[in-house]
Amino acid sequence: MNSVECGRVRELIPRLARRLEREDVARAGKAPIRHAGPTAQVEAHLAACRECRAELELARALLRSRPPVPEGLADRIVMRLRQEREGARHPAWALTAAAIAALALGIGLHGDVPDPDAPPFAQEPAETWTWDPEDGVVAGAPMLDDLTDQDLTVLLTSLSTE
Amino acid sequence: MIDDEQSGERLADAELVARARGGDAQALDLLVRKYHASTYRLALSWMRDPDAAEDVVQDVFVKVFRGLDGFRGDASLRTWLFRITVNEAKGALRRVGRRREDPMDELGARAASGEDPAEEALVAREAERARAMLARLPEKQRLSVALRIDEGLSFRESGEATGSTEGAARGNYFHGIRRLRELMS
Repeated sequence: MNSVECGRVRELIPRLARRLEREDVARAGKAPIRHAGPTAQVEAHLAACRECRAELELARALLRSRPPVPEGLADRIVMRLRQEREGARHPAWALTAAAIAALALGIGLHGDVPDPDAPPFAQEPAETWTWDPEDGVVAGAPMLDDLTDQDLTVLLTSLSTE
Repeated sequence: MIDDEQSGERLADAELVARARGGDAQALDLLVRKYHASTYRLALSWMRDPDAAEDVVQDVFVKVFRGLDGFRGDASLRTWLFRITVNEAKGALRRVGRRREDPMDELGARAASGEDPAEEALVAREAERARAMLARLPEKQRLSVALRIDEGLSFRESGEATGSTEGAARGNYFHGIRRLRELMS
C-alpha cells in the first residue's frame, strides 16, 4: 500500500472514528445522522489497506470504552464554583466578623430571656451579677497599684478579718 | 490544523470566557457543562481512580475560575484547561506518593451498539481490552493517544496541553498506537 496515502489516512483516523461512532449511536437511537461518512477515496483506501483498517478499528474500540462520567459531576462542580464566588464576594474575615456580630446580637437579644417552653429544671436563673470594686482583681477592676495607702489599709484589714 | 469546527469552538469559548470574566455565572456554568466530561476522562487517565479524578476536576475548575483573568486566549480554552488538568493530576499523584495500580478494566466500557447480542458482547470486550492496554502505555504515549482519540485534539493542541511540541505529540501518538496494536495482537 502507498505509504503516503496511508500517512494521510492515518492522520484522519481519530476524526473518522469519532464520526463513525456518532453515526452508530445515532442509528441505535434512531436519530438522524448528521455527518457524512468517509469520502470515497478514504473508503477505498480503507477497504484495500488492512493496516489502516486495523488502526481505525482500534480507535473505534477506544472510543467505545471511554470511561463513563460520574452522574451529577457537572452539578457538583457548579455548586463548588458558586461557593467560591460567594467566598470571593464575602471573604472569610468578613464572614467571621459578621458571625461574631450576629453572635453578640444574639446574646444581647436572647441571653437573659428564659425559654418559656422549657421545663423549670432546664431554666437557669437570669444572671444578675454586677461588678463590685470590692470583689478583687477582675478584668477592668482597679489594680492594687491604683489604690491609695488608705484604701490599701482598709483592704488589708477587711481581708485579715474574713 | 485548525478546521472550521475548531475555530468556531474557539470563538464560542472566547465569548463564554469574556462573559464569565464579567461575572456572568451562567457563562461559567456553561463552560463547566461543556468541558467537565473531557476534563474528567483526562484526569482519570492519570489518577486511575474515579474519586481521585473527580477531586482533580473540581480543583481544575476552581483554578480556572480564579485564573480566568490570566487566560490570554492564545491557546484554545480546551488546551488551557487540559494543561491545568495535567498539572493538577501530576500534583495530586505526587501528594499521594505513587500512581494507583488499579487496572482500568473495572471502570467499564460503553455498550456497543450492534444488534446481535453476541457480537455486541465481543465488540464491548475488545473495547475494554483496548482501554486496559492503553493504561499500560508509557505516560507520554498514553496521554497523546487519549488526547487525540478520546478528546479529538490536534497534534498542536496535544503538544500545548502536555507542555511539549506538536512534533513530540505526533511521535508519541504514533508510537503509542503501534505499541497498542502490538499489545492487542
